[in-house]
Amino acid sequence: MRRAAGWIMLVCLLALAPVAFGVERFPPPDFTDHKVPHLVVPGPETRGVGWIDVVVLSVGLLWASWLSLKGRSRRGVVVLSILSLLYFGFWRRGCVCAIGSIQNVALGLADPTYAVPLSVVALFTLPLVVALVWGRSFCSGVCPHGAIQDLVLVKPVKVPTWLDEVLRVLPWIHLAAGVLLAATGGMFLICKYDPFVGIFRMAGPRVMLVAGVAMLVLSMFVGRPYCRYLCPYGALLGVASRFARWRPTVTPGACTQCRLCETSCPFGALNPPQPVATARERVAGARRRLVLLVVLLPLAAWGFAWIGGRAALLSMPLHPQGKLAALVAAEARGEISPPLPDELLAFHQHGADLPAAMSSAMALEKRFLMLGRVIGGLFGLVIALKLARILFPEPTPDYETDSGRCVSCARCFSACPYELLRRGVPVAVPEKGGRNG
Amino acid sequence: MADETPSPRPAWALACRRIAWVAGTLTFLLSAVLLYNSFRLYRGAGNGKLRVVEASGLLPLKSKLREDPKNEPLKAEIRELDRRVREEYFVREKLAGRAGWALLASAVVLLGTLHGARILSRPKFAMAGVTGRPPDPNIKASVAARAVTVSALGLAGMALPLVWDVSAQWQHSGTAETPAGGSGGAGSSTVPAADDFPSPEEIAANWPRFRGADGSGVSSLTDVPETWDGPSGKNIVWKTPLELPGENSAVVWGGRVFTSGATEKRREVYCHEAATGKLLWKTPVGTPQSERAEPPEVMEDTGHAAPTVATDGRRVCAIFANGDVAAISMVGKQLWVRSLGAPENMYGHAASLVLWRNVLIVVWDQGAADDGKSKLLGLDVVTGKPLWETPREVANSWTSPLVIEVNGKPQVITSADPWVIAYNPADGKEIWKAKCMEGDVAPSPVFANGLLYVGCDRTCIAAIKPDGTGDVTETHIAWKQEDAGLPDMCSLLCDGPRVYTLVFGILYAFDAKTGKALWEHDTKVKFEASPSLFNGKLHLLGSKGEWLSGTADDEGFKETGRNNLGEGIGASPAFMPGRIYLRGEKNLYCIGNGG
Amino acid sequence: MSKESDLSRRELLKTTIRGIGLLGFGGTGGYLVGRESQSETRWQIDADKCIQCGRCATDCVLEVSAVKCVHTHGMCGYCKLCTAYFEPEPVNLDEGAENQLCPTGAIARKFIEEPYYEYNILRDLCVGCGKCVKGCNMFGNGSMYLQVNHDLCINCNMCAIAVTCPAQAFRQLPASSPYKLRGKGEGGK
Repeated sequence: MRRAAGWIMLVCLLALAPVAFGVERFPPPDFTDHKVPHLVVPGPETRGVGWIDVVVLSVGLLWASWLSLKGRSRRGVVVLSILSLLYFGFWRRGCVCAIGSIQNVALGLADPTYAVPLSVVALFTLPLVVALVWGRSFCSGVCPHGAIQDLVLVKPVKVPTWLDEVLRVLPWIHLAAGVLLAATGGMFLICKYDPFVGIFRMAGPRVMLVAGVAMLVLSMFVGRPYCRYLCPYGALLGVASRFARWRPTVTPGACTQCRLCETSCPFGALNPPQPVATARERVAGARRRLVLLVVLLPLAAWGFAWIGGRAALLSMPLHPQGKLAALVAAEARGEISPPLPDELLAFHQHGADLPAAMSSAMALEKRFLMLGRVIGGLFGLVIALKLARILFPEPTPDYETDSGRCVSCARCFSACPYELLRRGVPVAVPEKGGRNG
Repeated sequence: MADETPSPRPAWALACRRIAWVAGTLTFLLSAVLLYNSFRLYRGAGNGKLRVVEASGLLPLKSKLREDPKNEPLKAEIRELDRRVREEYFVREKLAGRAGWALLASAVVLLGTLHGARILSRPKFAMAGVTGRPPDPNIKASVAARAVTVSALGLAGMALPLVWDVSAQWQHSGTAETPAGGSGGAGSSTVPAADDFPSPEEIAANWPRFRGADGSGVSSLTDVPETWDGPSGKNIVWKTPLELPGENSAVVWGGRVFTSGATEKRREVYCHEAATGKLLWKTPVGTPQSERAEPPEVMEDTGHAAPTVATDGRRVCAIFANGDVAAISMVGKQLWVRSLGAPENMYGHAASLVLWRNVLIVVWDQGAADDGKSKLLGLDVVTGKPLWETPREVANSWTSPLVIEVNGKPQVITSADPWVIAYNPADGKEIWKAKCMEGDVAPSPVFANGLLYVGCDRTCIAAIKPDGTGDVTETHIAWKQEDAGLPDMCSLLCDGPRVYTLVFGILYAFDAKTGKALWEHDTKVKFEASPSLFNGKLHLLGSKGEWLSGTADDEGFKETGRNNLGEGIGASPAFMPGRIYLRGEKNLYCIGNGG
Repeated sequence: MSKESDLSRRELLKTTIRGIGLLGFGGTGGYLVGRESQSETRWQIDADKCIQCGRCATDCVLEVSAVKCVHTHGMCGYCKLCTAYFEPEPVNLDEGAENQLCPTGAIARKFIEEPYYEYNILRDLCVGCGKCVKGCNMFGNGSMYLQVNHDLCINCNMCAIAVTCPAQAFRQLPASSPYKLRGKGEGGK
């Protein structure tokens, strides 16, 4: 009891002293025959080496492009995607990945002091460059997220066109929010809501793991749901690959429109022939395009810029500084009753520099508003251009892979009789229009 | 998975399917086990807290043991529970890792067999499945276009209520220069706006500063108790000791009573619950500079916490003799603090704080008139940063400033030796000044009948018309009384027709319009606190705890009652409906009928 | 307007955009790589900012957090009554479970000489909850503090704890010196 009393006294004495960090309250003793241990810290783990990542990525991209354009081998694509899944997924534990690299690049461009490692820059740029030349071979062969979804696809269900088009807007929202929060230095939203990274690490927040498993179960029936309806990097790759110099074709030769490949694509990326418009339709089309260009594009851009700016302000509490400012403001208004949230405890413990917190929050708010407007405007343009693409499709005489959506998975090849002939499989070439056409 | 289609092998396909069933079941079971395990490791949704860290069952046992340290069975129980909790944690943690790998393996088997079954049972290349008319791309396109349009509009529509919400917040906090919902970026939804200050009604309903909202010591309330007794507790609702000494008065806002106290070393702001007297919080005030600096020399009667705090219901601002000025939130967190440095002040700094909109007005008079050290400061209440700073050619003074409105324009009135000066609180610019003071100016001015009443013990009591500009010494002094009854410490009081001063125990009355001396009344009581007025009666607070009430007219003063607090009084009372909050030497009192 | 010219015009447009895209991506990549600040980083805790809220133990993406307590013995007072080791108001100054603060028993207490005791963190048991760190910072020398252990940390692109840290105490340090240790001359590998 005496000890306890002494202890209480000690506490009381010490409580009077201001809380300080690393203060020497009790001088370290001088031992005569005891050696004071030296602090030993473990060195960094060496699983990931930047340049190895870049080499593996480059080889994978070239290999995947060759497989989808020249080799035309589904088997090869599957093997490559398994290897990529093992390396980028389970060995490198899904981090960093091309999808997440968007945020590093956004932050790197916004904040010159932020270091973007070489491997991250490569992960961001190389797949996009390749997409501009050979299409989205990254998605099929290299991306671990794509691979894990593709490998579990056992019974694809067709998503109705209208629903597909609507859901394909989501990646752009995800991208907009991700870039906004990353460029303001707040957080990496895309990483936070990555469903598969928890599976690659075999650990993670329960919500993330459950979402990942749910997404995988969905992927068994819906082809690549994350790639198509959430992945922000896929959205960028889709745009890039629309301008690709070469991209996969269903048939190695001429298309006879036998319709055998019609159902072979589980991702809705195979377009049926699109008749070339007549002269009259072309004139009408040109007029409508003009209206779209003059009216809809600016309107959409302006409207969504307006919404974007305000949505950005609303999302400010997702930023740690924004959250702190909101809490501090609420506290100043007397709206917060004890126990204080940890953020405020930390704020007060470190001197409660209210002016600094407020002025940085003000500056942050300006950045949110400005970025939100820019991103919102771009989002509006994307929506308008999407509409334009749907309304005025490129004339395609034959069955063709959709330039933006095809992920070069090589599934459709083996549905084409000409491809089978090329491989030496004796098949009869059907006539134009299919059996019942 | 293969490009070429092998011939169907039904037996193998069947085997695959069976294995798939087994693997599927296993996968499902393992998932369930892992999920349950995760709930056992963590509590709550998401990650929540680690159960082993919480070990909430242990805490009550441990505190029980502390009360009864000899209880060996209890000790054993704690040890056993502690061991069980830890053991479960480490076992489950290992299980999570192993079951995770098992789950992965079974999922791979499941997928492999599912794919195998599909490939093995697939017929050779066939032309089946291509039936019906080819899809009409145009119809599909138009459906899709409509869907995208609708969803884009829907998206915009969904955003709209939020947008209105943001706009509304902007309107609420937008400054006058930034039109609401405009394209400017100055508004804010998360940052407290500089212009969030109380309405005049809100201020009038509280007692936000020294001597009430208008600094006059006059209350229009009629239900304030008049008879009470400190020692016997009659009509004393509560009485709470105050930790550190202070000559400042209590201010009241929204059910909270604020005071401050200080010694040489410590400075604190207190908040008591008005209903119960419970100390809600006390917040120390200090800056690294002032901690290191020598404490200022003050007269014992003044102390280190003579200035009364000021509040606007968003924050409480306090200033101390060493020059530390701080704003504290309504829940007791220091929002900002500045050190103005210890002033060169003969008795110790005593001028109370006043808030006008977002400006905290600090009268910072020191030294002699020609030292150039005196100034008036306007601090931003949100940040504590100076908005403006105006030098004053006056000596150190002890009067509290007054904010009045003249012809719709605000003026800060300050009274010091030798100038009475009015400033614009928005920018600190001087409006007018009158030279009529001399010596140690301590009585705070009051404003009534459109006249400003000022006084000091050396030269005069004067009434000044506050509508001039520049030096108004010759033009705007309505009357001047230079003979008797010049106040030394207690502030002036005006009940409309008369102005009163209280000096050396004698109450003097002057005609408010002409300044003519009417009468004097010797109370034989020593006063330090400023007199107050309510229920049509004057209330004089003696320094030994006497409280004299009485009526006054043009003929004289008639004492109607006398209360006793039982301890010395140096502070002025705060009047709220049915209540008086009064700071005694050692205790804070709430006086009310039936207490 | 013939079909051929229409197609070739499309092709020209595509080629132009492709060129712009290649230049853009290449330029962005080149700019970021060529910048001086470009280097590998590791996440670490600034112990002076840490308030020991306990989220390190729960918010790491690993099953057991990579954040653990480290102890700079050179700063330690070797107190008999260690406020990092003992509960407030311990019944006895011994290693009974009722007296220990650490929920996993991850601190070993060893007698050196009267009245000095040495405290060692058992890394395998530590979950990074920071209870001992709080005790050591409040009443002791602050020789115990939390650090990200880089043999365990998988260096996520965005550290999940850094996002939720209420004190914003996480920093990205150069991979060559990934610790922020207290005490002079500490940091052996």
